Amino acid sequence: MARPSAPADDFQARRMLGRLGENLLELRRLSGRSQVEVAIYADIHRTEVSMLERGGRMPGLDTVLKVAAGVDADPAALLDGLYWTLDPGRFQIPPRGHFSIDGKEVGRP
Amino acid sequence: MSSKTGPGSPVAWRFGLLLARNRMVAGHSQEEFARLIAKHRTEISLLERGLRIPRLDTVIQIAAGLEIEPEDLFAGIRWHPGIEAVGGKDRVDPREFSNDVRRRFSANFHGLRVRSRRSGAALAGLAGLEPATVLSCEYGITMPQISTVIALCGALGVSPDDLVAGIRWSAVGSVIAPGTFRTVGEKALKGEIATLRAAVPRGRRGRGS
Repeated sequence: MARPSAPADDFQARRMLGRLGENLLELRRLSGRSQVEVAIYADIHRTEVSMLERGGRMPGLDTVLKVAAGVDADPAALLDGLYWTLDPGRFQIPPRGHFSIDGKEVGRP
Repeated sequence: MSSKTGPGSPVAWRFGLLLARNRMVAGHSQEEFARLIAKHRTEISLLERGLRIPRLDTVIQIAAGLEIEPEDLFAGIRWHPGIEAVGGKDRVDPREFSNDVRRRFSANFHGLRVRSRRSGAALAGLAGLEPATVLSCEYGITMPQISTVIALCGALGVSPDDLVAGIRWSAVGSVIAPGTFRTVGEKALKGEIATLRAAVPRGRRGRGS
């Protein structure tokens, strides 16, 4: 972990949540169900459906599967367009440093 | 494997099996893989043993790390809602529910009549009903009266529950039958993982398993 990765990860997570909310809203409209009905089918609280549509909360995998069934859709359709970019450079271990005097290496920690 | 291994939650358990399989197919040890997706190796171990339900972002990250589609990590597990017909005071059109009931009843009745190997007219004779009444119930033209339903049950030799199977009225906010997660193909998956584990040299296994 050569440099702090939190801001980039946070950005990716927020972008994913926005997309998830859009997908859910679209699929729910297609199913013709209200948020309350989806909540009943999915056996979750109705505020959670609303929260997910607004992209306000990162759901667990179980909630994703429940909500997908609640709007009568394949879970893959709910995750359409969600992706994560791994930055390979970010996870390389930097070369170890060494001590030097007048540019000449004298030892390693 | 630890003694804490077990299906605490069917979702976590299935995800764990699929993660273990796909990770080994990709040729990563738990430790290498954890480094690749910037997670701690203990988290990978917990997930693979089905002891933790991953959040969606973790699922997408792991799919990216393994270069597979996210749906490959929850293949074969689906949520099945307990309710098949939902009605309630918030329902926009109460007539819609009544139509659902009529259609569903007609489908149930047709199935049971075919299984009984009796014609509609023969059934009408047994039930003491007009043949036209029986036909209009079977084709979903009229909503049957309660006396008709009971007479049909007697003629078919079934319980009223069979004729109204799948028809439920739920007050909004209450759940009649709890939904369940259903999984398929567990045995094949476990066999595949055992083969993969046997193929990996001991030293390259993840420390957590």
